[in-house]
Amino acid sequence: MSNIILDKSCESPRLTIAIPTFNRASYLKLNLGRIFSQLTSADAVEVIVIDNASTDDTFDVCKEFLEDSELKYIQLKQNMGMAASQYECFARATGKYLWILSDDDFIEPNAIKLILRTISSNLDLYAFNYKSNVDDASPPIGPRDSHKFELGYELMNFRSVGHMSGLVYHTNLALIHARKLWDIFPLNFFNTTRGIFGLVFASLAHNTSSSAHYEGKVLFSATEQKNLDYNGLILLCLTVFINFRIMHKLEIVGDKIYKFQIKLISARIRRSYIRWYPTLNDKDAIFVDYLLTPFFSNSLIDKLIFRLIKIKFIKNFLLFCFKLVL
Amino acid sequence: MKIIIEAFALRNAKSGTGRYAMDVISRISKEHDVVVITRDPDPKALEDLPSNIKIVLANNLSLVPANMYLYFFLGFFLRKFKCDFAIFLIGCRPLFYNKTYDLVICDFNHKIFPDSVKFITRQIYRASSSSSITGCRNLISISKGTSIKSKDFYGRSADFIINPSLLKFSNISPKPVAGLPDSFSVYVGAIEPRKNICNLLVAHEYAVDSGLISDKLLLVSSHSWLEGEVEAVLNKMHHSAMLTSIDEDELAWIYSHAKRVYMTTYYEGYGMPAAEAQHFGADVICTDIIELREATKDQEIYVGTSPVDILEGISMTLKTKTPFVDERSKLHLDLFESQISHYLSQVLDKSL
Repeated sequence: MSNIILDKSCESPRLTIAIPTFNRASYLKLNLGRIFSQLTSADAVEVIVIDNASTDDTFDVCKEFLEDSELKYIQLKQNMGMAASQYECFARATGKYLWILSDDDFIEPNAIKLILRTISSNLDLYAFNYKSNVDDASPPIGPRDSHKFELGYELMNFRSVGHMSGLVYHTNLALIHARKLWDIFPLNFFNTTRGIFGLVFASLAHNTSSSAHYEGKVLFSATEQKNLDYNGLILLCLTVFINFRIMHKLEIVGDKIYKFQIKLISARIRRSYIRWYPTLNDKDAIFVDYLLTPFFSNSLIDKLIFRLIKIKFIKNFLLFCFKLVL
Repeated sequence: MKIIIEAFALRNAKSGTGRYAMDVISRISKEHDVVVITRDPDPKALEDLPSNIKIVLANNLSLVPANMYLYFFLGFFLRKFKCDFAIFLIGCRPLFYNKTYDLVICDFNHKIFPDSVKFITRQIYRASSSSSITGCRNLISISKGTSIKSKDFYGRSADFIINPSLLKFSNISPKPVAGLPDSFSVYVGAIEPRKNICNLLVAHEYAVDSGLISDKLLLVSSHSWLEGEVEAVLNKMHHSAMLTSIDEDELAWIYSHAKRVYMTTYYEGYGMPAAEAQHFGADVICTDIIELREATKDQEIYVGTSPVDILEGISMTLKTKTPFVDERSKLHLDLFESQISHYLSQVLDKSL
């Protein structure tokens, strides 16, 4: 399914920048332009585009850069979802470190220098700060101060950590974890988890024995997901909860990461219920009732909320209110 | 010798107890005159019983629920029969029956009650079980574990232990079942509250929807037990279906071809489907209770009863077994082949 059109790979690159992409030629062009304008031949950086069978001008865009720059273009013959293209990033990278950059996130000036400087400390895992691309004055999502942690999972203490483009992995270690996950789970499973990168990160963070680093300087600006409150989506809470239960059971993540995720969900669950439960269809409501509610209804208030919200009149009233407000 | 066999379990011929009842009745009837006493039996069960058996339906007092009838009224009903002795299959003799009898414990749950069983009902179960076990001529158990429990509880161990799973399928050749999905998981047994069906349905459905697995859940059971919450949930699920009218040889085939077999019930007397499934090499996900650990020789996947626990069990089957690895290898191979052909076609295009 994949076709290496041109391979001018650097010798022993220090960093691989891998961009999985699908039908976002204009974004990709902009991003590749920024990347190559920051690169010098001394940087020893490999750039890979994993084209997930795009049907737009993606190939033509890449062709422009193939002529006179260090770029590997890998085209998947058929679109097999986010997970497959992300896995290709782990599998194809030859740099010591890997940065998977989303095709709609735009790197900041000096971003590559920032990464190269940061990874010189030779740790297993790095997380970088980012900001929203709504305007130039957008504040960073995470704190501006940098931190070093003895255990990788502690990176998750920061709100900005978890975005795909904000993570830099030790390539070989990440590939080991990606393969382990790939061997256990069917491909379709990763497509409901927004790909494989998050699980690779959790797995690596759980198992990494050396330190991890959080860099407070902004690396990129992320495209806003308009009209979508990921933190508030009750079904996202459900997915995260179930996935981490499974990962925990399979010993892919440890107690501390699991508890951390549960804490995150607990902090959001009440708001999520009130906002999103009334909008669920019958089947999703059954999933939430059976899989999520029993674990997050410990307090009396929660029990009351979860019970009241199932009453048809209250459910309809809430829906009406949300329609008015939104 | 004329023997009465109580077989109310024939209400669902697909339940573990129901099929064990069929097995016991068939074997005893080879050497003795057998009268089977039952109530609202599954017509399929009656068809499958040997023709020399006399079947008596205890259908008087039809408004009285079956369980209550069994304890309080069956004893009176049986008094009119002249027989050498009776065999009760349920783990306790009806009250007011004072003739000689043997007792087969195949659904002995009296130490582990779910919350749904009311206090008074528990006391009735306990009292009748205790007096039945101490007073029977022979106490027949279907597993060692059951006899240990009875010894602990009533001070009597089993006189005979007959493990049904070792006998039932010894002479059966699996017979393919047409029309089943390519990939399926199975639950075999009655559909009643203690079987925890709703949690199983939700867990399986979620596992399919989330891409964890891709098989259909077949409930090998009887429609007659389908009611209330289970029916409501089942109607909302897209990856589950009932499968009725399955013969024993077909069941053997189903076990041997199932991706996994679920036995995630709240409690079991023995858990025969789990043992059967293991016998045919299926992956079994069981509730972590002593009966099922014993029935499956402590070699399967044991989980809690919540849907999340069952989901974890499903994920364990991915980790411990190899088919998915093979599937993935094949996928990689397919991808590799298509890579090569695509690459070649591009090269040819360029060359031309």
